[in-house]
Amino acid sequence: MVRRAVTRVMEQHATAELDELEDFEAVVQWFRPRIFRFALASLRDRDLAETITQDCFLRAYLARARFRNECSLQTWLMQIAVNLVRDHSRNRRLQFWKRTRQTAFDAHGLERWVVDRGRDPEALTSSREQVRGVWKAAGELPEKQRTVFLLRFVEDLELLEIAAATGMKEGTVKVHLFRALQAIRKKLGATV
Amino acid sequence: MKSHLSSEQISEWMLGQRSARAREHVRACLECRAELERLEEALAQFRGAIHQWSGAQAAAVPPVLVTSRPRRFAWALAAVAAVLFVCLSVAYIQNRAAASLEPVSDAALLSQVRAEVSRTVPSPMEPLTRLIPSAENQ
Repeated sequence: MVRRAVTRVMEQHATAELDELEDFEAVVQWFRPRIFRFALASLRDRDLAETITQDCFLRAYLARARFRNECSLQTWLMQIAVNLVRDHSRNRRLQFWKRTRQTAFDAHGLERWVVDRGRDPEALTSSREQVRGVWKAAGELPEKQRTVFLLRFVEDLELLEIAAATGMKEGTVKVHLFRALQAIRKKLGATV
Repeated sequence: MKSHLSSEQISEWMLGQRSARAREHVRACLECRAELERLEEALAQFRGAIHQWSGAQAAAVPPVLVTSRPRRFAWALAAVAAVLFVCLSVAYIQNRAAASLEPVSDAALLSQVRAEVSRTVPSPMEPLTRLIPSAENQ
C-alpha cells in the first residue's frame, strides 16, 4: 500500500511536469524501468524490450500535446507499450528466425533471479521451482491473459488501470485474470 | 467444513476482493489457507525475480535516446558536417586534378613505346648503325 501511495505521488509529480518540455527527461527516467520491465517480461528479449521502450517514449513525446490527464500518465504510457508489444507479438508470429536471437532469454533462467534472503537451501529451491512454474505457465498463456497477468502481478496495476491500458472492460480483464490464475495454479499443482 | 474455496473465489482473493464469507472460510480451513499462502508466495517471488532480472538487463543497455532538448548539439553537428563537407570537397578536387594529368602521361608512354617498337636494332647497338653506310645515311 505504501509503495503504491509513493508511486501515485511521484506519478502526479511527473504528470504535472509533463507540460514542460524540459521535464520529459524526468518522466522517461521515472517510467522507463516499468515500461522496459513490462516489455521484457512480455517478449523475453532484451533488445526487443529496449526497442519497444524507446519507441514508447518517442511516441509519447510526439503525442504529448494530446495527453489530457483523462487517465494517469502511467496508464497512458502503459497503453502505448501494450499496443507496441501486441503489434510486435503479432508480427513476430511470422518471423520464426527471431526465435534464435542471441538476446532472447532462456525460458528456464528466471529462477536464478530469485532473491536469496538468507533462507535455507530447501526453501530457496522451493521458491525457484515456483518461479519456474509461474514463468513457464505465463509463457504459455494466450496474449491477452499474459498481458493482464503481468500488469496485475508484476506491475501492480489496479483492474481499472489495466482496463484503461488494454482497452478492455473491467469485467473482461477480470475474466482473463481468473483464467490466467487458474492456469498458473494448475502448473503449480493446486491442492484444493 | 463442507467444501473448499472455488477457483473463482481463490482468484478473487488474489485480486484483493475478499468477502467476509471467504475470510471466515480461510480462517477455518487449513488447506485453503495453505493454498492461498502458497500462491501468494509464488507470485511474490515471481514478481521479485522479474524485477531483479529486469534491473540487471536495463543496466546492460544504453539509456533511452529520447531527450527533451533535441537541438542542444545542433550547432556542433552543423560544424562537424561543414568540416566534413570541406574535407570531402578538397579530396574530390585533388582527385579530379590527378585524373586530368593522366592523359598526358599516357600519351608520353605511348610515344615511348612507339619509338621502342620502331627501332631496327637494340638501343645499345644504335651508335654502330651510324658507322655503317646505308641509303638512309647517305
